[in-house]
This record gives sequence, structure tokens and C-alpha cells, in this order.
Amino acid sequence: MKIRETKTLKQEKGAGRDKALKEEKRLNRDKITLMVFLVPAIVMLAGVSIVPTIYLVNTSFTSWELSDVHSNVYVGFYNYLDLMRDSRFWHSLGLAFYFMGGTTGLQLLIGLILAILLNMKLRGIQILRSISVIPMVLPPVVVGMIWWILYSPTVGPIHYYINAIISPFGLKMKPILSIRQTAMLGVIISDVWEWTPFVTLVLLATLQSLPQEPYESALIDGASKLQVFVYITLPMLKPAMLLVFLLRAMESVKVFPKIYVMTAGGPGKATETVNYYAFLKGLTYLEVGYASAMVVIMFAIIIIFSIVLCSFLSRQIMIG
Amino acid sequence: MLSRFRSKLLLVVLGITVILCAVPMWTSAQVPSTALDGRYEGVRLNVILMNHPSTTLIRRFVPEFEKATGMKVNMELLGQKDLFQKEELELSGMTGAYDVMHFSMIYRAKWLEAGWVAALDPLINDSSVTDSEVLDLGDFKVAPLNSLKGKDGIMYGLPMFDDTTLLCFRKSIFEDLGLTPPNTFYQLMETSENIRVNTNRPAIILRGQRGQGLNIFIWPTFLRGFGGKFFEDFPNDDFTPVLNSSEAKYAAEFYANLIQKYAPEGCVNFNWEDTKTSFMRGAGAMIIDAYMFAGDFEDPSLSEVAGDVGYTLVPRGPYGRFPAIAMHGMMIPKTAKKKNAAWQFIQWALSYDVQLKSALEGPRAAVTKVSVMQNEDYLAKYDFGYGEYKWAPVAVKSLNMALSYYRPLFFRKWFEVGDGVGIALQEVIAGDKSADTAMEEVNQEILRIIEKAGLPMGK
Repeated sequence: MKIRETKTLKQEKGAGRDKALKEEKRLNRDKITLMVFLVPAIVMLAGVSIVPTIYLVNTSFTSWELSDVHSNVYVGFYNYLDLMRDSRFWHSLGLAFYFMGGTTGLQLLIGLILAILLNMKLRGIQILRSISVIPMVLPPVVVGMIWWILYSPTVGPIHYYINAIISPFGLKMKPILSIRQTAMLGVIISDVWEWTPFVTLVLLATLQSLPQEPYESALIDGASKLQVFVYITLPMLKPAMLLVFLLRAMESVKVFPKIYVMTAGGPGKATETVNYYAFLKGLTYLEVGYASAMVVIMFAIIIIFSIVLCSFLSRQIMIG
Repeated sequence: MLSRFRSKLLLVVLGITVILCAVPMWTSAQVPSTALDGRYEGVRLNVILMNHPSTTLIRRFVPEFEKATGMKVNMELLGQKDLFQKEELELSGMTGAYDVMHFSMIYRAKWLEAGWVAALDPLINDSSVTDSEVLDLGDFKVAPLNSLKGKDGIMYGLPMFDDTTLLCFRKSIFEDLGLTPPNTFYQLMETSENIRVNTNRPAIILRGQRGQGLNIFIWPTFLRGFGGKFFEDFPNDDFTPVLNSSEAKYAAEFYANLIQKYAPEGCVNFNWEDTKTSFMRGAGAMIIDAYMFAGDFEDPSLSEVAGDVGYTLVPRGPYGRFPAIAMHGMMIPKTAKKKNAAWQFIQWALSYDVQLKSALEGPRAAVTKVSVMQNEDYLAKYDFGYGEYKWAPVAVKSLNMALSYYRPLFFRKWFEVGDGVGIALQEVIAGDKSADTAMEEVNQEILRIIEKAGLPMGK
């Protein structure tokens, strides 16, 4: 009896091992299949992002000028050292971050207000939601042209109507894009107009997915609307706000089409961000080595900034 | 009687046949004979040029060229800034995508040094590809022709349109105020003040936007007029920058004052399109800008000032009168695969017939063939101005007196230098910096550029 039982146990053990082996083989086959489907995507990703990035970094160590075939020689860190001495580069970098801070901050503030308003249950709210996304779908060049016309002191309505109001008091509005103090502000406003709908949509979607129980409890506890907003809505919105801040910050620091169309970097260098300066150096003066070094520094700063923000975001989500 | 009728009928039919046969010959007379034998049948030419009245008009006649030669011409016209960027990327990438390209004297030094442009002399001297009657090299204006030659004297491009600057003024405003057009810089300032005070309107329109082809196309008139210069001795290869001289600083301050006090709002950002349309709208009493704008100023369908404009030379300073000069033409890139076919197109596009036809269909005031400028129909059409302020004779005078190194373009770092000076000048115009500070800073910046490029300084 025992021997028969042992034989049966062995048979059962053997059968189990076979099953496990078969399972393992199946899993390995699945892994191979997965790799086969993933490899093209990985190759394409490497081709369009990693390889050009490596090439860019490589070029940044050369003195390459496109108009001089003999200039593609390695110069080590010469371009980077030269950049350290280039006050125009540091000025343009500062402007890029000024633009990023101004535009992202305003988009978050206005986007939040709009999201709260569009979350109301009102008749016709769907139409308003649809209309609000129009600026977002326009190409940046078109946005730049629209605002250039709006700001124009000769044909634009802003200048005309504001002067009509203030001129009886002996005041006169100066053209926004013609003076250093307001030119960048003018570009920031155009960017805020374009991208606030994106922020609004993300925050609106988050608002609509928030659980209702905290609100019901707050209502029962007699909390005011302001208290509900500050102590319930805002904390629950924080992860979404951080995410949208990260996305917009990374995007806005690379601003180019609006500056190209509206101010060409002027007046003087008042709107010459690092992207525009790199464009001039690389594509107008054809100094691609130097321009590459500029872009690599910018790239490194954005990476560090993104890592810091992402880790902060993850911590906030975990705490939430 | 019947036989007499038949003879007359035969004569009429023969006559009509001869005329019909002659028409294609007349149409293709402007096409080089070297392109009419069918050897270019089916050839596709890619042409890229600046978007300009002359090129938009040439494009209108391209179907005639295509019909006569059997070629297919794909002609792309771009704005100045975008054009040169695209061209340089194509040339540096040696794509061979274009057979005929726009060639400006501004780029001559850089492109020739880079070895991007094909020499035209071998084509000119080859009678199997050149119709000397259509080309008629001797009929081109001398200065434009020479401006597209290399230091070696070899021809690299043929001129399509030239440019200089004139002072254009509103006849009615000047007559009402009893003014005469200013001849000196100080008279210009006084006249501007007079107009501003008496009409409460902007007096002068000038380019303010930064750029070697924008405010730095106009400002050297004042720089040189006040005795300043860009480099110590440019034509003789001494690239020591001298923009921090008292003359240069004064010229910057003078130009900025004109714009700040007497120009329309927003002039600090005006490019040439803005200055042209502002004057056409009647926004200013005077403008110093391209002479070829006259065609637009005098077009009643576009301009509110048509028929009310006088033309004179740009004002002079204590050190002389310095109108601007610029030259644009066509060239064949070294990487072009169809050089002979491209050369047929260039001969045709710059021929007397096409230049005259486009000038008469116009507006295309800027032509490069002397015989076109002397043509009666051309002179009748471009009979702009009045009395001693007529456009054509003033323009010819201005072109003849212009210095070839009005802007020191003929070295490969000009763009960076010119743009840098343009930025500094715009900062002065906008009131961000004093002329003293801006010129000192830009001089240092240019010194850095020249040192880095290894260009010679001092003797």
C-alpha cells in the first residue's frame, strides 16, 4: 500500500515538475514574444532620441562651423568654457527661466479658476468647455501672429482702445513689444492664452473625478465654501497641479515660435531666450559646435529640474 | 475673275500662315537659342529665390519658358530671413536639391569661401550653352555685375535686382509748410521737428528692428556720414573694430533721437515691410529706405500717397553722403545636377525681354539691364516724382555713388557682427542703454568674434 502510495506520490511529484517546466517554457516563450514586439519600438525610440542626443553631445565638443569644412575638429571643453564667459548666454538662460516661471504660474492660477467655473452645473456649460480649448489647438506661430497684431500700435485694438480711455487724462500707452520692460510680458500673455486651456482641462478632469465623501462630511460639519476649497479641494488637486506644472514648465522653457514671430529676440535682447540664441548661433551664424554646447547645458538643466520635480511629485502622491 | 479671287485668297492664307509661324519665334526670342533644340525636354528644374516683386513677376512668365524648352520649373519663393536660412542649410548639407538659387552680395564672401557656388565663366564662354545675344553681359549695370564676382574676378552670379536708399518725402506736406527736402543730417533733424510741431504727426520713418539687413541697412548712412566706421581699415584687411569711437556713438545717438522723437509708435521694431506700409498709409512725412519701394508708393491701388512723393538723395553728414547698396542675383550651386539647364533658365530670367516685360507689368522698378532703364515705356511708367525730385535720375546717381563696403559684408563673420551692432543700436533706440554704453559693449563683443575667428587686426 505504502509503495503504491509512494509511487503515486512520485508520479504526482513528477507530473507537477513537468507542469512547472511547461509553465516555465511558456513564460519564456511569452517573454521572447514580448521582446520581439518591443524591440522595434525601442530601436525607434533610440533612433529618434538617444542617437541624436549622443550626436548633439559629440558635436558640442567640436568647433564645427557649417561654412568651413575643415572646422569639424575636437576642441574638448573649449565651447563650454567659452559659454561660461558669454554673458549673452547667461542673460538668455535667465530669460528662459523668467518666461517659464511667469507663464506656468499664470496658467496654473487662471487654469484653476477656469476649471472650478467650468465644473459648475450650468446650462450651456458644455459649449463653454468646447470653446475654451480653441487657443490650444492653434499652431504657436499663428498664436504669435494673432498677438503681434493685437499689440501693434498702428493696427492693433489693444493700443487703440487703451489710449482712447487714458488719453483724456494726458496719458499715453507705449507699444508693448517695443520696450524692454513689457516685451517679454507681452510674449508671456500670448503663451498663457494658448496653454491655459490645457491646464484647465487637466484640472477639470481631476475635479470631476474627486470622491464626494469628504465634501459630504464637510457639509455635515458646517464647513464654509472657502474652507472646503482650501482644506479639501486644493490638497486633492495638488498631485494634478504638480503634474501639469511639470509638463508646462518643461515645455515653456523651450519657447521659440512666438518669440521668432513677435519680437525676433528684441527689443535689443529683451526677449532673446536661450533657444532663440542657440537658433541664431546654429542656424544663422552656422556655429553648430557652439550652439550644441548651449543646448546640452539647457538639456542638463531641464533634466535635473524634471528629476527634482518628479521626486517631489511622487512624494506628494504617496502622502496623498 | 475666279482665278483672281483664288490668288488673293491664297495670298491671304499664306500671309496668315507666315504670321502664325512667326509668333512662336517671337515668343521664344527671349529664351536662349541653346535651349530650343529639345535637349532639355522633360528636365525638371528646382529654383529657390527671394519673395520679391521681380521674382513674383518672373514666375508669371515661367510657363512661356517651359513651353519653349520642354523643361518643368518648380519655383519656390521665400521671405528673406527664411530664404537664407534654408539656403545655407541646403548648401552646407550639399543636398543638391536646387539647381538655381538666390545669391546676395551679403553672402558672397561666406559662400565663396565655403566653396558652395559654381563659377559661371565656363558656362559664359561655352557657346553651346550660352546665347550671347540673350545674355548680353555688357548690358548689365557695372556695379551690380561686379558685386557678384569673387576676389579672383570670376563671375559667380548674375544680378537680378539691386538696391540703394533714397529719402522719399510727401510733396503736399512739404509744400504746405514751405519746406525743402533736407540735404544734411542737421537739416533732417530740423525739418522733422518742424513737421512734428506743425502737423502733430510723425515726421520720419526709419528701420528700428535689429539685424544686419534691417536697421544696419540704414544706419551706416549716419555712421559714415559722421565719420565713423566699423573697422579700422576693412578693405585692406584690418579688422580692428572701432565702433566705440566718438563718431560711432554720436551716429547711434542721432539715429535713436530721430526715431524716439519723430518716428511713428513702434518704429523701434520696424522692419522694411513695416516702414514701407507705414509710409504708404501716410504715417510719416519722410522715409529713408529702399529705392525700389517707389513702385509700391506710386501704386494707387495699394498706396494712399501715390502721386504725392518726391525723391532725393539721402542726407549727407560732415564726412559725406553714403547711400546704402545691396545686390541680389541668381547662382548655380556646385552640387546642382543640371547646371546647363539651370544656366538656360538664368539667361532667360535676366534677359532684356523678361526684365522689361516684368517692369512694364510691374511694379518692378529695380532692373539690372541698362537698356531697360533707358527704354521709353519703362521711363514713362516709372516717371515718379516731380521736377528735380524725380525717382529715376536720383536712383541712378545714388547707385553710382554708393560704396561697395558701405556695410563691410565681404567676410564670413559679417552676419554675427552686423546682427550684434543691430542689437546694440536697437537698445539705444529703445532707451535701454545709452549710446556710449551700447557701442562700448558691442565693440568688445565684436573684438571677441574677430579674435576667435582669427581675422587680422592692426598692421
